[in-house]
Amino acid sequence: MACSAVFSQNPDSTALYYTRVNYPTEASHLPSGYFYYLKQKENYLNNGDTLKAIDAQRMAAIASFKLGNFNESEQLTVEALGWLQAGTFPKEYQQPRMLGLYNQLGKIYRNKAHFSKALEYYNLALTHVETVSDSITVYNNRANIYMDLGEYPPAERDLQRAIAMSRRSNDTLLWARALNNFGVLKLKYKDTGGAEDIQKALTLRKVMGNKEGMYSSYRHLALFALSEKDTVAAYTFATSSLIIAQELNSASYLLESLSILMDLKNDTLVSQYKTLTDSLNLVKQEEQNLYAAMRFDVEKEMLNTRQALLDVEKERNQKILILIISVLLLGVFVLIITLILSRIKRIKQAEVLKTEIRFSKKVHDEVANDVYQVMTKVQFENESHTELLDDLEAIYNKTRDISKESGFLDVTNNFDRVLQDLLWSYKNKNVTVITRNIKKITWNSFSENKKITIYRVLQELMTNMKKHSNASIVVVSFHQTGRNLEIIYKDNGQGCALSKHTGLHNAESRMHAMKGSITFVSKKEKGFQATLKI
Amino acid sequence: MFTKVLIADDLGSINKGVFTTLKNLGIECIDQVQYCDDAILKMKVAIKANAPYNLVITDLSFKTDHRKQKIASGEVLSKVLKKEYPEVKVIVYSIEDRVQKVRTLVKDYQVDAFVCKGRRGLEELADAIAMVFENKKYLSPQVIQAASKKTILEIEDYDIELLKQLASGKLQDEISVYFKKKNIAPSSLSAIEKRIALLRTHFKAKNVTHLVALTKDLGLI
Repeated sequence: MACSAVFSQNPDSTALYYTRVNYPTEASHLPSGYFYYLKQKENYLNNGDTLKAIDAQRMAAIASFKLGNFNESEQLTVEALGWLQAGTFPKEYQQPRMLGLYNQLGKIYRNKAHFSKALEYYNLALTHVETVSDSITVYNNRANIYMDLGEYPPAERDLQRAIAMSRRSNDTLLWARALNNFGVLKLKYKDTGGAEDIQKALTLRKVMGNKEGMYSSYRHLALFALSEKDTVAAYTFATSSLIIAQELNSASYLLESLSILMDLKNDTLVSQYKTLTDSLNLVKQEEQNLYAAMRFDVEKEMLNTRQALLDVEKERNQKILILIISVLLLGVFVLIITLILSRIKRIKQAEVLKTEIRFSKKVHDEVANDVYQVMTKVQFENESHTELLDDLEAIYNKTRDISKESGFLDVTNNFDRVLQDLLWSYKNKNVTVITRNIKKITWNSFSENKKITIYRVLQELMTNMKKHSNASIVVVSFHQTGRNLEIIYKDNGQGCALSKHTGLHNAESRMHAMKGSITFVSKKEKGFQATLKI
Repeated sequence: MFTKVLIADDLGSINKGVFTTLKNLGIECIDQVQYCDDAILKMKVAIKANAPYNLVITDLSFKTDHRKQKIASGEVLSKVLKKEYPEVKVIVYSIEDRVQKVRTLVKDYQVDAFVCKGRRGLEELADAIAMVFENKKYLSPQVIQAASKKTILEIEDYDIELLKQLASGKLQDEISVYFKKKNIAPSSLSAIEKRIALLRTHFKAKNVTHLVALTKDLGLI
């Protein structure tokens, strides 16, 4: 509930501190207002209300300015300006704040005697004015800068504009101010008519009860009278200004009034004291300015350092984040690769196992059985040497066939020759092998694996033919269309029941492994045909 | 006959067969090694002793064991031997009968003979030794293809056209006229007769009618 309590008393306190900052009557008013608004600014920033934060910051800047901390005021104003420019606000909210902040900066730079910079900001302020009274205020301010810079003609132009506009809009206070300034300008031209303008402004200000204005008019009149050696008039005006300064309880006003009065006393000791104090004050002010500027620089430096540290921290965090992500990605990548590799390994192992089983079965069925039969024959029959040799040769040939089935095969070059040699090896006095178009195939456009598959499958078919078919003629025709190859094997043998032969199963699985196909056609006594597509 | 022979073979029992065969041929000095590197070593020693070998008989495949070999196979051994000692004769005696490999040995490495181990292996080896001694080459009948330029019959488009014309009932002289008209070469009657005779031999056809029937059955026409 503490929170709502703070906010419920907000409107009242805001009004109170607004008055304190704008029209301070006690020494504590400006500092307390300054701290109040700084705190308000933090609250608004935390609540995300940037516009209100900007307003609070501006009030803090005004308080700081009035306390004589021009550098700090500058810092606060520039910061607020940054927020205003960074955000996107409706125009009607943005324009008056722009104007206010630029005007404030103009004032700050004038007091820091950076007149050209002040002029720059008043010019900027003018681009954001929306009301007549705002225009008049800025014209007045700009005219003062021109006067500071000794550029009287533009100052005169601005003041005449301000006078004309304020009269049209019946804004007496602003008119009085413009008139007063115009009078001061005339005096600079040594045009004594200026005094009349100031008198006129004074009258208007008296009517409006504008004490600060009245003080300014009295002071200028006193200074003019002093420069004209009219000590009586000067004394009257200075005394009037002193009374108002007392009413306003403004130390700086009091100091200024008393300073003029002392000049009028014409006492050598007093004037010596005054000259000394003035020069001492000047030195002190310079020192203060220097100190303030240095402190401001240091603060700025510290701020930069902190920002740099933050940036470094941020960069480091980003780097760490990138590193973590990379490590994670790498981990995932390695995991996937490992999984894929282990899968390939598993498949390969399964393949090896299958081959091993096939060979062990072959050795058992074809070799061991035959050897066993020969052994029994030798044991119980009186076999002749020739018969025994025949049996052994048959076994020997079988083992050789098994070894040939898996031996190394060089298919890189002259594959047509390799194939022809294979087919040739099945040729004998009973069997003729004929090929068609074997040389027309561009064998190099097929991968080694495909060529090996073709070789092995044809080897299976030819072995099958030799074992079972009793064929006398075998024709193998090749046909290539683009990257597709069709091979037709055909014999004139007795045909066979397809399901029985493991060799044909092997041929089938070899073709499927290469994403090819093989189809068989066989009729009793009508030969055997196999069509390979790869 | 050869006087000094070196045998490189890692199987003692088969070597015994070879040994007997060589003895029967009247060869007295027979040395045996079980590693290819040892064969080279023996060659060098023999040359130094001024008693070089005339003939080396080598297997192709050698078992690998704890002894690391510079030369691991009979293939490399024959290559090295023929290169370093061109005057020595080399006979490969192996279970191998793949024509492709035999061709490499005979054509590329200039091996003098290739004998397949088998039922008639030792007899063939004796024949080979006799031939090689007369500076002739020898190949076992299973691998004779390796030395031959001939391949199995390759049916050409010309043959298909010829068979088609025969199937349509044309006589050979009619086909000759037809080929001339169609610009198919060769179109002379004698060339056509020769070609038909060749096809008949390959297809083992008793006559032209049989040839047409066979090729039709095989789906060639």
